[in-house]
Amino acid sequence: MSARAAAAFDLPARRERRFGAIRTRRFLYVVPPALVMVLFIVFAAFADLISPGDPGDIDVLNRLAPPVFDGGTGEYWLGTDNIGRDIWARIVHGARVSMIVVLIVVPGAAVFGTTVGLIAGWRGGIVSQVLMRYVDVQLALPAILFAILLGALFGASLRNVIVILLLWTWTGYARVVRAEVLSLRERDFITATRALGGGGWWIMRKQLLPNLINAVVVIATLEIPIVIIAEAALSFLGVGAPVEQATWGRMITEGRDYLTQAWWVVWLPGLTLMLVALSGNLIGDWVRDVLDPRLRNVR
Amino acid sequence: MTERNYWTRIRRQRLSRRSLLRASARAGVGAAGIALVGCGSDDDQQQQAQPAPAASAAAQQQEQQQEQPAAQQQAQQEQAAEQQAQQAAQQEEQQSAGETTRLDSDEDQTAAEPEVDLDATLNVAINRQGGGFDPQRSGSQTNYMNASAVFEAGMSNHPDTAALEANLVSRIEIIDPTNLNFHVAQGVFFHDGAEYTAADMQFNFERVAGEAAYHEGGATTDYPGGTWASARGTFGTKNFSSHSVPETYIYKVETPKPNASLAGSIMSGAVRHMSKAYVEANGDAHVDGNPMGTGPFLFAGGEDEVDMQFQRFDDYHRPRDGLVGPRLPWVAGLNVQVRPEAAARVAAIQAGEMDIAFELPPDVVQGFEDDERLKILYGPAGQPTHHIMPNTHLAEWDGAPNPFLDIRVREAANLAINRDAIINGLLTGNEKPSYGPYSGTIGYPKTALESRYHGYDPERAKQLLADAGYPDGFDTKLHIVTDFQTIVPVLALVAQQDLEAVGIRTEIVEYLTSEYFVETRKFEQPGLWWFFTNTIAEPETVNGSEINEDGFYAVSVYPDTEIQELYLAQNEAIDPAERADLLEQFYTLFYDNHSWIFLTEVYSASVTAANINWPAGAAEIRNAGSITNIQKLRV
Repeated sequence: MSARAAAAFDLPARRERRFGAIRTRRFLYVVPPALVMVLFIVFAAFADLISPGDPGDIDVLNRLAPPVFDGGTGEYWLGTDNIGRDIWARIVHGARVSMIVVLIVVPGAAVFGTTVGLIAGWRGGIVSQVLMRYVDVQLALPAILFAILLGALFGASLRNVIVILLLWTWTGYARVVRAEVLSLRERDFITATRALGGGGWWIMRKQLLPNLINAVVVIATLEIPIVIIAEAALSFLGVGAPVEQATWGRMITEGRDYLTQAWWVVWLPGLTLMLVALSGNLIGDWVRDVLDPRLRNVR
Repeated sequence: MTERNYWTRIRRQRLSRRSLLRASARAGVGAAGIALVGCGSDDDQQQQAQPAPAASAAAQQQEQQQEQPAAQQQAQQEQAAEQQAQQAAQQEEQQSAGETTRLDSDEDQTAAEPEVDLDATLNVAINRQGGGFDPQRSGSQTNYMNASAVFEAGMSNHPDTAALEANLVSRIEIIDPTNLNFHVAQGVFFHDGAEYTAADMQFNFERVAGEAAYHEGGATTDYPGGTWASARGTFGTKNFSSHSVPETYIYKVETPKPNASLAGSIMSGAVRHMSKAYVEANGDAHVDGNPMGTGPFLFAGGEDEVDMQFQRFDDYHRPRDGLVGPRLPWVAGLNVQVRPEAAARVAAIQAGEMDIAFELPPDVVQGFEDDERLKILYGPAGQPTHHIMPNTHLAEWDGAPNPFLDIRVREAANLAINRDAIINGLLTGNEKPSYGPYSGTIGYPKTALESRYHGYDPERAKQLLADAGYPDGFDTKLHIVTDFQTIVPVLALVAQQDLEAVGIRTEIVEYLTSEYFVETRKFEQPGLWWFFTNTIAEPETVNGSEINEDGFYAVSVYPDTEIQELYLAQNEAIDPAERADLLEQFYTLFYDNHSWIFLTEVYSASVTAANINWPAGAAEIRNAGSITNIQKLRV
């Protein structure tokens, strides 16, 4: 057997090795963002242990103290803000606020949006038209203005932020899920199930939903950074969490007048926000690749 | 080959997506920075002008000046400007020698070439402006720049010394304790050329009271865009038994009882005077968009929340070379731009885009002190004295007895506030604790009150709360306005922490200016309300609104004390010495009653470009009221 012919016989193994290398490299790419997200989760879960005390504690005699790497003392290692609050404590406790919002908004919007999309796609007709036209209208509204409007109407509180983001984010799920259902409902296994007497609700729960999970998980993963940024944006604009609550968005808005004299007041929460959002995006990207067989072995 | 193309295409897409992601991240950081500078809200206040009967001497002096023909005055003023420009450096040195609060370097000023540019346009950055251009409309009360440029009050006072000055009123004639004649200055013209007379003065008091004949039925709630200013009632004809115009330049007022503060109150900046003929002919809505008064500037255009333009009114009745009060402006025009961020306003001056920003938070401005392109001045803010008013109109707060009806709770709250830390940590260090209304008011017994200072004693505060039945403290709300002065939300957080340390746990409720003052006047919501006093010298302007039981901002009233009796007594004491004595008793009792949670005075900063100057002896550049003092030097 020639070497060429031998190589031809060895093709599946070579391909597998190549794909294995791709998967390994891709996994390595996701490690840093995953570490950031793990830190984010740990901060959120154990904020009280990591930074004991109230993040709102004010030390006016130590206002705008610089971080240790910019000449500050160890008392406030990331410095203090314009009224002497510990930036480190506020970043750690701010993670908790973001995490609470994510934990409620992302699953909540996923469940509601998936349900609406499932019903619209399966039932079709007037039901689908009404639901999807509503989705179109909401998607046509400038999201941030919509959120500000709701925030102005209902006031600034964490609860209202969650409600606003729930109202804002479910439409993405509905639209994607409906499109998937429209495709799935024409597939043979659905036709066969219907021929065997499967009812609509049963098919939706037992046949369609399992086939939608991948898409929903991918959207949910990509929604995490969007929700975190949206919460920060609402807080930045003053329609988010109340003034006493440590959130990254509010930290940025409170520090904007001090950029010229104390860069850390804005940059440190801004950098944290950026890192978490970027990590969320990269992880979402990875999850999509892993769950989508067409992209699984793409370099 | 097909598969290879497919992979290539997909890889390109993915690379593109990742590139986008990375680029987005970078852009996000940049955008965050830009957004930080470009969005938000904040501070700023201005002061109003005002008078009192004792102003007669100064008023007569001003009247003599006003009798000179305007054209002759203007020619003299042009010459004076030239001479003054040559002497500017020396003058500035003299001026700075007498200023204790000025923290910028005097070298900045002396380095500028002292040639006044009389054709210059002054660019002023302000934090907000809206609610129309009718100064009697409630929403436009924040629009002090327009009010000070286009309109005038009956009298004014020196922003630094509070000395009373004549303006539209040249002299006050006290016929007897209940009868006053306001002599209207002659030679004062509206921007449309019509002369200002006593009939216009009478019309303005009727208008703010909703009694002007043109306004059908006197109703004022149908005013476009909102209600009338709080000046209505307090500063209107409700104070009068009768009022009339016996002569062209005399406005006669009769009061039901002696009223020592009447002139000082009604002739203050709370009522800006308009042309009767103009308002009657055009109506409120037109006036709201096209303001026209007797002020030093003509309104040339503007848009709510965006900008305003004004041009110098060359027939303005007050000479340019005066040292106090409004005068013929040194600049030919005003260009006022809204820049919500305090730091952005300063940055606009650094960039040469703007010339002046008023009433900036000192803690923000301190970051710019080393910039030689800027001059920075610190002084009392337009509303310099801050306090917190517990709502004592309600017997119960959220179903429980109102804790602040107990004097021990009020004392505890006062002992909880660490004023020294606020002054030395957050403010400039030059401020003083607050003892009541503005300390610059007539008859304010500063020395007597200082000796009774509450001090800071959280342990005693806790004990007092326990004695009052609150060993574990209690919860309530702290209502604040976020865009009136930037420092308020910051101070509120500090006060919240201090109060919480002794057991008074508060939840901060934020409002915008447009809703806060309306809400405050209702007295319906329990809790603590953040408030301020202004810099008008006549104490009635604060006492009448914040302490008097009928005052529209009197959130804290104490009917069981003698406060109200003393308030009424001092207001009827025509003899200045007697009134001062009663005021001392009144303020002392008010303080000893722990009627408010007294906080501190607050300074603000004005920042100007290096080529901005003001004549020696003139009021410092502090707010819209001093806009006509300002010179722009040629560079």
